[in-house]
Amino acid sequence: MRLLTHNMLASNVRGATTGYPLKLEASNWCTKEVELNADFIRGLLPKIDWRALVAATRALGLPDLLPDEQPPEEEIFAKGAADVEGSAIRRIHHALLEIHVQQGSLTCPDTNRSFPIDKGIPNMMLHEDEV
Amino acid sequence: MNYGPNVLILVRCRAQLGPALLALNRTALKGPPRRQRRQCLPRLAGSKSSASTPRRPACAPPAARGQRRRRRRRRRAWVDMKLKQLEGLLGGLTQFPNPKVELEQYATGPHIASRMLYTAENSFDDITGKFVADFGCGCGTLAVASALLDAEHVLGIDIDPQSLELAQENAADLELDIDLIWSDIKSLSFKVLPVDTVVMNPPFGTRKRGADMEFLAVALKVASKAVYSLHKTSTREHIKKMALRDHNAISAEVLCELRYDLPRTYKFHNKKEVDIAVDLWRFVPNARR
Repeated sequence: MRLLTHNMLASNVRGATTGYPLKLEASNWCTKEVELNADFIRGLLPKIDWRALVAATRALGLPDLLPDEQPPEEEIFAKGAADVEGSAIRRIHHALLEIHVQQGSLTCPDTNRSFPIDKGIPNMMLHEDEV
Repeated sequence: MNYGPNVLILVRCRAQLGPALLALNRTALKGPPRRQRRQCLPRLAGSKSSASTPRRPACAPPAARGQRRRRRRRRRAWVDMKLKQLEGLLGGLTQFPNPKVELEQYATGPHIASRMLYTAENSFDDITGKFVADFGCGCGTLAVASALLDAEHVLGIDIDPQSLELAQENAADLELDIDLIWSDIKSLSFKVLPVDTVVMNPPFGTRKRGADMEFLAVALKVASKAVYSLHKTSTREHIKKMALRDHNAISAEVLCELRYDLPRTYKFHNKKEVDIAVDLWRFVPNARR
């Protein structure tokens, strides 16, 4: 599961008000390199939840990957930034698309219901009495 | 026109080794890197970029005409080859070994799946570089096809853990990365909606009434650009009405009618094979919510 997928998921357990953001815990994760596509990131940024993304990277033990506040767009999409190692856009791209959580869990912030992640697949199934 | 070295290799490959081996050549399908390919990959007839190609002058000299005809033939061969290759790769995927009737699990055939995704990309530009979700992905045929066409992020969702495992293996065999979620479509909730395109082959609702509409309702909520879906031709009017009236779609259009050749999957099927007429739909959701 990439952090982009984590960013959109919310828990739908009965009793949850927003069920978001799901608290991520990962015992095993890996990175796989993907080519950076600035247009894709540009379209994606306004749609994602920055705080949830930052929280997820910190949960993986990467405190310095992303800053607390989203950098201004001019800085992220500055000319040539995509080619600079460690630039904002590269970090965002890395966080969203290159990190894969293999084992761990997602916990609903309202109800503490935990959803396991096994072999990269989060199990979001609810029991009948939880719907 | 220069198609780059990959094409030459492929042409030779096709002539000597036959289509079966083509299926193995995934890197060749992906072709030259994205930016280059955009320029050299001709689009299918009727696509938007074909409108911008200059019209042929009325009285072209015969030599030039012959050249153009040759070029067109070559171009058609390239498009055809890409489609065939996609179909070949999808034909190599593992499908449900023990399909579950209550979930209406029927594999999406490589023929239908390749044409569906090919149309979505070549006529509407909805796959390459986009966030694509496959609802009820099963063994992941449509998800894998999206990833093969260079979707930036692919997400498959299914209620059946065994098919998810298969989908994962299928993707890994082709060295693709797709994200999967084990969940019921209707009980899933999303806080943010970054999905561009939803592709799906939902249950047709013959076992469980309304199952197809449940899928469509969620898809139209989640997607921001387009929803591609297969539905039985016999339900065409109903689908159109529901999509436009109840689910707020801006447009609902049948792109083509396909034959879904269904081999005998379950015990209660008493014919060896049936052809079902299905429509390939393209819905445009109302993204301003």
